[in-house]
Amino acid sequence: MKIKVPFSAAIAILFGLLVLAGYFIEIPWLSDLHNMFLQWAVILAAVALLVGIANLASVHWTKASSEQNGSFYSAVLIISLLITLIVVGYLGPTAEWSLWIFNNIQVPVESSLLAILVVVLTYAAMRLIRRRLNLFSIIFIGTGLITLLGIAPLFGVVIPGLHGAFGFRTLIAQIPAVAGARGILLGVALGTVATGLRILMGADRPYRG
Amino acid sequence: MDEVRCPMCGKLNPEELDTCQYCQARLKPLNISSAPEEDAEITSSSASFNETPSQKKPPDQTPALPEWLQPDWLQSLRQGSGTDELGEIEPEDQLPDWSSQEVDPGDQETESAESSAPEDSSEKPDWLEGLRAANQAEPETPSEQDSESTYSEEMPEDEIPDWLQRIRARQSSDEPELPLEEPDAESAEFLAKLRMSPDADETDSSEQADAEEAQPGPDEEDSQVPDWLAEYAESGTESTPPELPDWLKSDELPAEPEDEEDSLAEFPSRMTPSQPPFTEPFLEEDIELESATELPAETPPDKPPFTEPVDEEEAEGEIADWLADLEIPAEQEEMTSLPVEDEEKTSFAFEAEPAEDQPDWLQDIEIKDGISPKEDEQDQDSELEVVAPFTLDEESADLIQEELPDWIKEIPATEAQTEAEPSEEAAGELEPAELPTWLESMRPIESVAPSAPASDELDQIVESSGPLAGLQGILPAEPEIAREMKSPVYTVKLQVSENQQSLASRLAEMVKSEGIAAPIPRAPTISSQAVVRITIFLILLVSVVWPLYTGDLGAPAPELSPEVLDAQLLINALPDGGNVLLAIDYQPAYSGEMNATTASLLDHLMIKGAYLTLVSTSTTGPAQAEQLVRYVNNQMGHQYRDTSQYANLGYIGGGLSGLRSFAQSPQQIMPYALNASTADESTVWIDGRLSNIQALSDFALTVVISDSPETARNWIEQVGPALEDTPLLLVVSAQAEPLVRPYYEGYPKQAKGLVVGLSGGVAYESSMPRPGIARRYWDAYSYGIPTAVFLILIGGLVNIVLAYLPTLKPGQGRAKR
Repeated sequence: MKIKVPFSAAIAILFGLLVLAGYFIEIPWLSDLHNMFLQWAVILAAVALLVGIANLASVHWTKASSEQNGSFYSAVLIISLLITLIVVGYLGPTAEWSLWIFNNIQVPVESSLLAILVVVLTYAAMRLIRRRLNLFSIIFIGTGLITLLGIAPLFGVVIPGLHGAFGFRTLIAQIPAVAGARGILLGVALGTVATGLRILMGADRPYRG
Repeated sequence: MDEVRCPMCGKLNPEELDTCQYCQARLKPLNISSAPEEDAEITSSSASFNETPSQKKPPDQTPALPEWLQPDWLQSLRQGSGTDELGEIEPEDQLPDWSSQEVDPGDQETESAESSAPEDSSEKPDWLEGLRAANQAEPETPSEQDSESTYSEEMPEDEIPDWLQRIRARQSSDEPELPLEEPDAESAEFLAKLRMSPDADETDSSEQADAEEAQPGPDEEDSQVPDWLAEYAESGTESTPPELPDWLKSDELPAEPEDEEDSLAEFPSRMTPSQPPFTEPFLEEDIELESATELPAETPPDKPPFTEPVDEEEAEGEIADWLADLEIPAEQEEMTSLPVEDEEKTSFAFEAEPAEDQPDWLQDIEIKDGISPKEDEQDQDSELEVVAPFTLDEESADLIQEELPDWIKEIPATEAQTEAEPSEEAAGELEPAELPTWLESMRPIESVAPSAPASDELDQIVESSGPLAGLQGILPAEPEIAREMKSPVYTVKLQVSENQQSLASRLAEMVKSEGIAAPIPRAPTISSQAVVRITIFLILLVSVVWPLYTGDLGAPAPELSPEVLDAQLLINALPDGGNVLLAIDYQPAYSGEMNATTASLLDHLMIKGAYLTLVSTSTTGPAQAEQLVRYVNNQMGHQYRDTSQYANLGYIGGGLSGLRSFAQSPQQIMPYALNASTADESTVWIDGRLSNIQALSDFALTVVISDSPETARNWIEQVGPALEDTPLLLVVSAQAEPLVRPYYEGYPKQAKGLVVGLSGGVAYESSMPRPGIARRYWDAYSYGIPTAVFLILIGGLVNIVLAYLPTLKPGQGRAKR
């Protein structure tokens, strides 16, 4: 078992270096190798997606067969999966029936969930003032309310200073928010580079089995 | 080898021993030379001593001595003869049975004087002989009176002592017995008389006893015959006194008193005449007797009063006053402390002196049959509690100080005082601790409650053998450990009050329910939260649906922002029929916003006749793209239906790797179009409008439509370098604007145009000649958003008031008004 760990680390490092080198070194065989490895990654990702779907089906199949609490919904899930798999797999993703399933089931369901979120967030904002009344909560609630008020006219009325390209809402959205977003993006980029280097150096082994 | 049983400890000893080898008690009494009459008196008195108070005497029998006064030899004599006190006496050649027989107090009942024994009057005191003869003269007299009469019949009346006469008179009147007087110094000398010759005149001694009884209290000191002996004298049993043993006939005994009365006066009044008086068994040593005779009145009361020697001079005179006053007055008859079924069965059935005339020691001596004078009634309880009858504690000494005879008064009280002093000193130093209530309640009752004092049990024990037979409150000869005692059972009960019990039960319930999950209270069908949410929904619904229903409410469109203008310029700059790469990467949930935002832009592209190449990195992207094209076709009247207008390449798998791969070689990654009706049409990269596209840079425009900033960033980071000069246009949701705008506002701009949310779509649509769905959504949007904002404000204020209202005091509230 101890031999497997260094071997898998070696494979991971080798392939990572080859792909990284393909980005910076313009060598035909290296570029081809780079492209091949990327294609293998695409295939593995697609296979991982299929494995996830299979695992989901097996879990819900077990739950539906054991008559546990919520087994009905598991059965509905499995049936829906089978129907969609059959229809879309046979007719194609752009076929009429496939689009009918998508337009009449998936889109309304997900849209309804998002619409419920509006009511929940409104109610949560109302209770946030009572539960945690401090400076940060007040800033948070105030920023949200100003943004909402400035994004659209108040009952059809444009308030100068609040609405417009140079309104208060635009000022908040483009200056402090963008500044924070830039910092987040920089942090994400740096974290991504650091994680890649750790994998290439063998310090981080997410593939340990 | 014969063995003799010790009268004290009851153990067997060899016959030749004079003292017990275990307890050192004398086995053989001292020899006392006494007259036959005296012997008779002794036997009769001793027999009466052996009686127990509870023993019932037959009517024709004389009262017996109490047990504590009955010596063992006397008892054995009775047993051997099978008669009463003055029954048959064993012949001289026969040793007394007391040495070999067990003394049984139950068998010591005095019997009638009819039993007779061969007597040897020549060697016995005269007084004893006389008593026995008197008992034998009248067989089985039914009462003491008869016995007395028998005795009197034998003796001339002139010779009957007064004390004896009084005793007889008392018996005839069935008066309760008087309490015995306290033995004084003179009365103790009677024992010396016991050893006197048997030739003493019995009549004289009885007369002396009567004279003593008749005399008042101050003359009690002069009395020489105890009451028990007076009783014995008066009973006058006909039974002949048993033959005295050798030790009684011995010359070692002191000389007999000259008068029989003197000898009789020596006996306590409790002794019946039918019973021989006890002499030597109560004296352990001869020396003690001799010394007792020499003892003054200050002799310590370690021996019974009747053991003290009697003054010879006084004995020669009249009968002691205490003995003469043995008649029980009528008042004292009612003061019997114990119920007596038959007074005749008592051992003290003689005429006792009045309480006032009785000697003190007689009055204080506790009578087992229950007869006690009035004066002793108060002290009776204390006496019952007292351990020893002859040892007085300080308390009782104070109570009966006046009644105590001299010989008792002279008892040094040092012992009692010394005992009291340490206790007082100890009490002064230490104070009782004050326990808290909770600790006091935890103390077991049995350990705190005082148990019965040992003295109570000891007081109730009546000695049945030995010289102290019949006495009460004497320390047992047997060791306490040898006695059978029931082991006390101690129970520890915890005193728990009701409050403590309730608290303990409550704690027990809490501990018991520790592992048990508490039942979850059933939530009401409609809770307050549900009501609020429903209310919020209805309000928002009305605010959004009403503008849609009524139509255009005239909400002003937003201004055309720079990023939207740049987007328009990019599309205007497209050549006709140019290839546009369109990435549809938003979720179906955001279809409402994104369709409204993208519809105008897509319509503009369709007006330009651009060839749309649809791709997606989301699994629902291909369907979403197809649905978007059909929506725009339907809304804007376009005819983008087959691969000649657009190509739906489908889903790009592999996440970032797939996108990178697609950016490098799009033909290899996405070779087929999903919207092709035939297989030939699917190869758009070969025969279709994409045959001249080798890389993404060959596209005229790349539009990324996404609801997530991550997706937009991925397209920018992975595909942007491959685009080279192809402009990138971002159409994002309002939530992704902060993370996407830096790519637009950066230098160099990675995104050439930016359309953000419904406002951007409305702004873009406003520049288009044809209105789209975004303008209709804009009115509902402008009413719905402020409604939500006002709901949040109003609800928050209400919650604040409800939260802090209870803390407000009524007074403060009224003052603020």
